[in-house]
Amino acid sequence: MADFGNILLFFLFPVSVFTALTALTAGVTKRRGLLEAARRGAYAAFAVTTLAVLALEYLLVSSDFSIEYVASNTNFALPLFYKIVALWAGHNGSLLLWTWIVTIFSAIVAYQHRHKNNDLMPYVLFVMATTMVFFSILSVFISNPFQTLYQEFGNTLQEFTAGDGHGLNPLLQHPAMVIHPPILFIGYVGSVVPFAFAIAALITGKLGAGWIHTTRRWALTTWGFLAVGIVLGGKWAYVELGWGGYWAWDPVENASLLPWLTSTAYLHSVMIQERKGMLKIWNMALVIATFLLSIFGTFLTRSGIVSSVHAFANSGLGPAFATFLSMGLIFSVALLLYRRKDLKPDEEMESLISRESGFLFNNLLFLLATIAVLWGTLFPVISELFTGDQITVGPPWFNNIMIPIGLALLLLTGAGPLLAWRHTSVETLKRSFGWPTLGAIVFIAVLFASGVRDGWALGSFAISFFVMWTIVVEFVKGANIRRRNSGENFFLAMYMLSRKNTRRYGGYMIHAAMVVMFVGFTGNVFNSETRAEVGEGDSFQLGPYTFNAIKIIEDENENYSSQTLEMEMYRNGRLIDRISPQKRFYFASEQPSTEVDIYSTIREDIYAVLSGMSNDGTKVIVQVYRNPFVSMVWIGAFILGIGTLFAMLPNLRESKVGGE
Amino acid sequence: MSYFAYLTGLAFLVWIVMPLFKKDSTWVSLYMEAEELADKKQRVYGNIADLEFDFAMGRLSEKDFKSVRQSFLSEAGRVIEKLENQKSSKFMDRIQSDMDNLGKKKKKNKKKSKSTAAVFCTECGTENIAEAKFCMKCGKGLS
Repeated sequence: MADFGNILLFFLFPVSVFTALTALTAGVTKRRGLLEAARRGAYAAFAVTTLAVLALEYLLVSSDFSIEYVASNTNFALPLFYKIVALWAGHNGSLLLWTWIVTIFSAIVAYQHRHKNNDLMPYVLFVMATTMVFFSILSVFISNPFQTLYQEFGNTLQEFTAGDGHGLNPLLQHPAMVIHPPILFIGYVGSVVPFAFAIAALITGKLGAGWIHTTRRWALTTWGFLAVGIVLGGKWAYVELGWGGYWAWDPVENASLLPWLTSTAYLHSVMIQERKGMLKIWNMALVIATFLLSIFGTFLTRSGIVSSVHAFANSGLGPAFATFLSMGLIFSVALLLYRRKDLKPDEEMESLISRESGFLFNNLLFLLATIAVLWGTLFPVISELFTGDQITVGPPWFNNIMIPIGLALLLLTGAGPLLAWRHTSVETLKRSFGWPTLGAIVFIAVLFASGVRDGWALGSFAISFFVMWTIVVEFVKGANIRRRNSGENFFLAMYMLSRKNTRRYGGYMIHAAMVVMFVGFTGNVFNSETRAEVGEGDSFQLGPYTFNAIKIIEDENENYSSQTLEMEMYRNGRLIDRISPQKRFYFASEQPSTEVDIYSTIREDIYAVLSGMSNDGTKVIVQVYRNPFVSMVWIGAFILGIGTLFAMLPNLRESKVGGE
Repeated sequence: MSYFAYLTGLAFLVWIVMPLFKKDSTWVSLYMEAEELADKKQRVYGNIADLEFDFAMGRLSEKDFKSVRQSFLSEAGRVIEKLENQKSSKFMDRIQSDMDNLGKKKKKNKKKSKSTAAVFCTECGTENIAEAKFCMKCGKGLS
């Protein structure tokens, strides 16, 4: 079966080279046969890669330990479910997953456009096939998942079948980790579609809104998957890493944030192009940057150039990625320069107080955020270049820059939609902003009176309040206007209103989701924690909570041995819940892992970690964190997902509205 | 197993190469100026819809609304006029070239009867004459 997979995976290379070449020739000659061949190439690439993936799955599930990948990422005792998802647990497998998703998307795009966009499609397929060529080189020649296991016997290397595998990294044995990589990968890889269309538009000179309309849903899908993938990564870190938080500005986390920042900027700035014919170069640049940053993110995770909690060790992929990235960058920039004259704006900016200037500020802030995160992430590499030492900038550095930028963006979320296109007079500005601003000020006063003193927290809550107010008003006012014209009841009117412009109201839902998430982020200001050494019968305190250690349980199964501390948790003397953090030791991988226990409400999380034994071995050390509003982050992400889906629904068409 | 894998891979290679040996034709690029104008029309209409929405939501004064709306309407008028002109001129061109072609065909092959089947535009559904390269309504290329 390993041969089967390996040979078919190998075929991906000639198939994708053939696809790239025929697609390019089709573009130049406009011959249908060539385009059809390129299209079939995309389908065939998908087919052979799928067969290779299935072969690897078969090897994983049947525990074939003559294969290095299977032996280092699974073992006999591993539950079947984790054997299946071990496809993306290791380095070579996740590259194969990446490659597979590229072929899936290429096949979908080829199929969707089989009868249309003949002018763009050759170059779209060319770009996608070139990406496939690159990833097939990686998967086939550099990080092949079908590599057989070898062991040294004397001076010779011989094929070898291990008695049992190393097992799956315990940190990865968590449900969030199971879906986080594929979701994030779909987000990463999805950026290739808008990129391919943008490049095709640049090559053919068909620079109008066509490529933007065609890729709107792809861009949005990519964005949504990235966002949800990032949050799932945070959820995993929170539940599995046991340090009490969900985001640490780790290089790999940053790598996923970067393309998200540029694609968020794009989703906004593209509206200026649609309405005003401005920012054409900028939008192209954002689409290109999003794709290159996605590749860069993969590179960062896979190359180990920056040390990180979950970056994989140096794997010799660096040069390959560096070549692909720089070629992509040079090619795209050269095309942009070549077409710069055709990308001139159709109109000019008219007023500083307008919707478009709101979008411009938004983009400026996203640009700043991208540069800051990129700089902070690469600083260790840059510093090593100049000083010989890797100097890491920590979370405080990122927070100092990103919190103000984040709050300014949040403020724009509320303010931007209140501005009219082209020009908003001061008079209407007062009318739109008056009440929400007053409301926010009153809200600050109430918070201050109830004891909140942190400036950032007050600012963040006030802005959140302001934005939420404006969003609610948008829905209510819109529904009321519609109700007056149509006679529908309020809720039907609101539904119809949203369904008639899903993009606008889906956008508002996403804005609301961001507010909810920001409330969650702001909760960090109020975090508190305590650390205690406890034996059975001891108790300790955190805020209004009292914890009584009931017993310490030692246990063992075929996968791991464990130690669990069972505690009762009281708030103001009343029993609320039992909380039992656990420490595990996995036999196959010889690695410890902490299983935190979290008591979660909307208001706050109580998060308990069993850190280990005390020095004399009679007591256990337990760390308890009290984290307000953390669940808001997950709830926000859920709303964000719903909003994204809603924005992708087609607009409802009505036969007639009003007397136009 | 590996024999089977080679066979599968080769089968795919043959399948993708096949279209290269079929009788081939080329497609004709869409007329770019028409596309640009259609874009522009779309944009002005979107702008008018947004403007009306903004006004209904109280984001701009009536005075601003009226003057901006007027400017959009006249812009829309200009775009539509250009589109119409272009279509009619393109239509004339095509009639001319069709007539020419028809003449040539008649001279070359008198026996071959002209196909009368109409071609429907995939974009807007308009019925076009069989020889049409572009849709007479929306200007999209016809295959």
